[in-house]
Order: sequence, then C-alpha cells, then structure tokens
Amino acid sequence: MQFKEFDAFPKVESGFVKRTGSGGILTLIISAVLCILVFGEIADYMKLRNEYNFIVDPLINHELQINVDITVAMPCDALTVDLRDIANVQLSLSDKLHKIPTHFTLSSGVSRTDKMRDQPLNVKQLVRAASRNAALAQASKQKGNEDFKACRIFGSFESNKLSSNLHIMAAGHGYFGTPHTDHNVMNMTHKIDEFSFGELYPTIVNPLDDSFEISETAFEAFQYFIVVVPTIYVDRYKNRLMTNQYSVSEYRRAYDEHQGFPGLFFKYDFEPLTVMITEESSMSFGHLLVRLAGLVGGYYVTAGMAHKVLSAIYYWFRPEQAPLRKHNV
Amino acid sequence: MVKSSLSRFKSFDAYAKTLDDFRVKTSTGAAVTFLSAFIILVLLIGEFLDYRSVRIESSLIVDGGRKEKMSIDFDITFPKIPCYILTLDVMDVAGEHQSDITHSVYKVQLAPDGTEIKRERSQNLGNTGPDPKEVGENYCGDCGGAARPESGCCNTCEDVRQAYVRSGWSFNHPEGIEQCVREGYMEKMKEQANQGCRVHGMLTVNKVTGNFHIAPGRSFQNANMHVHDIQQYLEHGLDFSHHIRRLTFGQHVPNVQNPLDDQHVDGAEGLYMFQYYIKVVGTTHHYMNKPPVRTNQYSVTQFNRNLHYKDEHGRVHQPNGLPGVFFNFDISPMMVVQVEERKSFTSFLTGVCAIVGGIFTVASIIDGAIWRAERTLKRKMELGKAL
Repeated sequence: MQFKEFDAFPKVESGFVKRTGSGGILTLIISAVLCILVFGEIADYMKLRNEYNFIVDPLINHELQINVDITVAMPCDALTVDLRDIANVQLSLSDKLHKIPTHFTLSSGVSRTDKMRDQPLNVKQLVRAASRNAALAQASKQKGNEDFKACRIFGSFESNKLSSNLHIMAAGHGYFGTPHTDHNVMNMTHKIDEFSFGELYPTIVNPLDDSFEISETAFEAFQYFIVVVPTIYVDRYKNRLMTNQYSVSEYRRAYDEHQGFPGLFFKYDFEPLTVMITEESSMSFGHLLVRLAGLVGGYYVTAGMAHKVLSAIYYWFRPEQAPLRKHNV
Repeated sequence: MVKSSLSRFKSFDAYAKTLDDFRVKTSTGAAVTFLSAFIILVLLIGEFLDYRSVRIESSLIVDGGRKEKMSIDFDITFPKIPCYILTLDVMDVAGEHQSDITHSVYKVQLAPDGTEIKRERSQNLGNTGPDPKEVGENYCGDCGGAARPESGCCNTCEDVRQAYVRSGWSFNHPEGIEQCVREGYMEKMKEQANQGCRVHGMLTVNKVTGNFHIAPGRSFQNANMHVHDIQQYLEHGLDFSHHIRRLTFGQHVPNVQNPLDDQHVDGAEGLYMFQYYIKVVGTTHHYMNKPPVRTNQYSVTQFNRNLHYKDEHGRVHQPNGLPGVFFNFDISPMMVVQVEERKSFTSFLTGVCAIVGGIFTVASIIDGAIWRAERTLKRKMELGKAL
C-alpha cells in the first residue's frame, strides 16, 4: 500500500473527461459570482459593529475627578464655588479652581473643530481622540482693557463619587460669612466650555459643553440635573477608554429679590451600571475561513449539480442531441 | 430482486462515482487529503467546544417587581471591639424602622487572636432576670432615680441601663449600682475589653432605599430621632477596623461579583464613620436546566470620615456623626437579566456540514489544480526533451 493510495480526490485523466461548452461557460459564471460572494464575506468581516454590555461596577469606588470650565458674567471675587454631597461633606472649591477675570463673549476663541458632535458613535475615533493630550486651555489675561466684567472658572478637582450638588453662587447669597454682593453686579449669565467627569479628555464632547444661558434678572437660578453613566470604550485593538457619559435636564427659575438663591446648580447622581461599548467584527478570523471554505465548496458543488440537472432537462426535450450512451453503469 | 429495485433509482444518483480504473492517485493528493483532514479535525473540535460551551447573554430591562423583599447576608468581623458594645439597626426610608434587629443575626465573641469564644444569637442582651435564689421572691430593684419601666422594677443591670437611657442619662458608672455589682457587670466588661466581635447573619428588608448600620451603644428612639448612647465610648475612642467577609443581597449566581467581599479596613483608631453607599441592581439569572433565580448585585462607593475634628487651635470638637459602619443602600430602576445559552444542535450540525463539505471541496479543487499544473509541466518538459 502506497502513500498515494490515501488520495481521496479522484482525478481522471483528461482523455476520460468530457468537457462541454456549457460547462465552460458555467465555470466562468461561477467564478465571477464566487468572487463577488467572497468579497462580500470579507467586507462583512471587516465591518465593525458596536457591542453594548452592561456591568455592575465590581470595584470599590472612592473619588472621582470632575472637570469644569465655566465663564460667568460676574466679577471673580463675587463668586463662590461649593460642593455638597449626600454624606454631608461640604467642599469649598473657590480656591481649588482657577478663577481668571475675563470678558464675557459668546464666540469662543478656542477652535472646536476637532470635536465630534452628533456623529454616529465611532469607538476608534473616540479612543484615539482621548489619547491626544490636551490640557484645559490656559486663558491668557487679555491686556489693555482692565475692566473685566466676567470670570472664567476652570480646573479639575476630586470629590466623592456620591450624588452631590455643585453650585456657583454669588458671594453673600446663600452662604454666610462672605461679603454681600451688590444686586446690580449679579448676573448669572454663563457659558459652559467643559463639564465632564473622570479623566479630562477635551476632545470628547459632553452634553453641556459649548452651551450658554443668558439670565434676564439678577435673581435667577439655573439648575442642571445630571445623571452620570460610567462608560468603558474598547476598540478592536483592545485599547480601553474609561470615562463617564451623562444625560442632563435643566430648569431655570427667576426669583423676586431676596426670595431665593441665584446661582448655577449642578446636581449629579451616578448610575450603578457601567456601559461597556466594544467595537468588534461580527466574526473571528477562523470563523471567516470556515465560512469562506463553506461558501466556495458549497457553491462549486451546488452549481455543478445545477448544471447536471439543467442538461438532463435539456436532453429530455432534445434526445437527439444527447451524448450516446453505450452502456449503463 | 433488491438489486433490480435499487437500480431503478440509479438515474437519481447525484454522487456519480468514477470507476476505479480511471482514477489517478498521486502522492500530492494524499498529502492534501491528510492536510485537509487535519484542518477539518481541528475545526470540528473548535465547533464542538463552541457548541458545548455555555454563554451568558445579559440584557437590561426596567425592574417591574413589586412588594419585593431583599435579603441581606453579611459577615463582618471587628477585631478590636467587644460584642456587648455593638448594636445593629436596620432603617428604611419607607418608615419601617427596625431598631435593634434580632432577625437571625449572630454575634460571636472573638479572642484577641481571632479564635471564637462564645457564639450567641443576638437577642435583647441581659433579658434574663436575676437568679431568684440570690434575691428574694418579692425583689424589686431600684432604678437609681431614673424613669421606671412598666413593671416598676429594675431587676437587672440591663434594666437599670435602659431606665437611664429612657431618662436620657448616660450610663457611665455601673460600679455604683447594686444590680450591676451582683451580676458582675464590670467583670464582664473587663473580661470582654480585649475581645473582638464577629457579627453575621441574615436580614430581610423591604426592597426600598434604606440603611443598616453597626454602631456602638444601645440605640433608642427619642422624639422621632434615632439615637445611640455612646457617651461612655467618646473619651477613649473606638477602633472600628473591620473585615467584611461577605456582603450579599441575595443568592450567588455566576457572573456576579460582590465588590465588598473580603474587604479589610485597618487602623481606624479614634472615632471613624465608615460609610458604604451601595446601589443595588436587581438581577435575574436564567439557568439552562434550573428555575431562574432572582437576586441582586451592587456597586459601592466608600467614604470614611474621622469624627475627631480638631480645629486650627487644636481643640477637639464634639463629633458630628455616629462612629460605626454604615451601609446605605439605594435601589436602581434597572434590572439585569442573564440568560445561559448554548448553540442549538441543528446549528451545530450545519456548522459541521459546512466545515467538512467546504474544506473537502476546496481541497479537491486545489488538488486538481496542482495535478493539472504538474502534468502540464511534465508534458512541456517532455516536449522540450523531444526538441
């Protein structure tokens, strides 16, 4: 018994094989269609889809970074920034955040063209954008005109990962012990350039980024109710981006003088579920190979059988063209 | 007979076989055969493993359950605090305030080296009356001037203590009280002073926002306020180091981790308030061959606060909080549904057919191509020789 006895693929010397014109045409058509199908399959393999998973955070959380960049149309020394959470911890942030006197303009000088907004989610772009290192733009003091009417409050701070209320208020309105601010100065018109949770990725746009509200009276309160959803993005190269998305609803209310506390109130709470968005192809490479083999093999065999059936039908109607059968096997 | 009836189907044979005489067998063909057989085997094993493996498919729905109860299973060790100091309270926002809960909770006294000394089911400590032989039949103890209970007598040291609590006094000097001296209260305290305590057990609470806490001193309700009598511990402070061996909100199911399991917090001398803010997410796990299980998983944020607050002049202020370990739980509106799944048998069969048929056919095409190429080459070489 020779090694070649194991050959499972019978080959017939060309002298014993009949080649027909219709078979030749069929082979060409099969090859063309097969090419299209194979390319379709490969394209399917290359296409990425986003897989959404929800996990309950398995780690013990402690603190979380919050990044803000807000310009309020009031002088800096008339503004206080405080944070209070449900553990009754009160944090005075007036010194922890940078306050820079500036002019209130709605046309932002910082170009935001590289920010992505209202685009279908592309995890790869997002992860890549996050790796681009950009610090909060340092505002340079405008020289010449010293009559600054607005204050830019920006920076990052750590707070407990608990539902909290971050508020920017006029000094003397709401907290005792600060000098009273004159009502003529009070104006809660503000512009938010950055409001995000977790590590700062300036190129990722959050719902509050680049928004502004104009206050009509001195005693007006703007409340933002924010629900934060921790999110992990994983692109197809397994690069991870851990950040936080949030949804926001807002409410504004004007008070009569001395009836309430004007200010900006950011009330935020955290969802216990973490969203994990994974970018992945619909199948593995091995799976692709199996599918391709199945496709090529199946198509080849099916087309061959179809050819047989069709020619059988053809010869049924035109028996005179049928090849001579000398003997039945 | 059989043969002749079979031969009638001959014309339907889709697997026309080449007569053996016309078949050409080559060693490259055999090599391709083995190679393809190997690939098929590997892929089949992969397909089979994929078919046998159980995947957990999870989805998210809004929790529609009503009137649900939630069981809290916990096991917490306090290596530095004796059992008699600790009290467990369960409170919920719905107004159901269960003070001094005794619902299958056990306190285990621990020696300083961690060995168990005495295990008791936590009931109202010291509820047993004094031995009637020692005191007369008609004994009615004095309450030391504090408000008397309904029976009018303070027969045990514990009764006196509760009377003090009712009057809003602090129970600082048990050595002056007759009942306590008789019961050896001070000896008991001294004996337990270096002990630790392990509190474990199960609580069943309404599935609403609430908290349970383990804190020093007996708790009582005073004008709608939840108060702990901690006066006697304030001076020396308490070391609330703790080791959470287990904290679960329901049965264990696969794919669910409890972040607080086996959590150590050490070096908490002084007056520390440990807060755990827990968000409970309902979870239903559908097993493949068992009835589904409803349970809960949670995420947690920890926050510690030292209550011994010194201002810039070095003065120690009154603590503005209760030392102890607090678990505040909040219920999420979402619910995770986990379903165990396996590929269906038919899809496994389809996969097998695709692998065997596909690889085999492709291999035969490749083999045919090689053979033809080989032959053409040979013929050309022969032609070249002839020239």
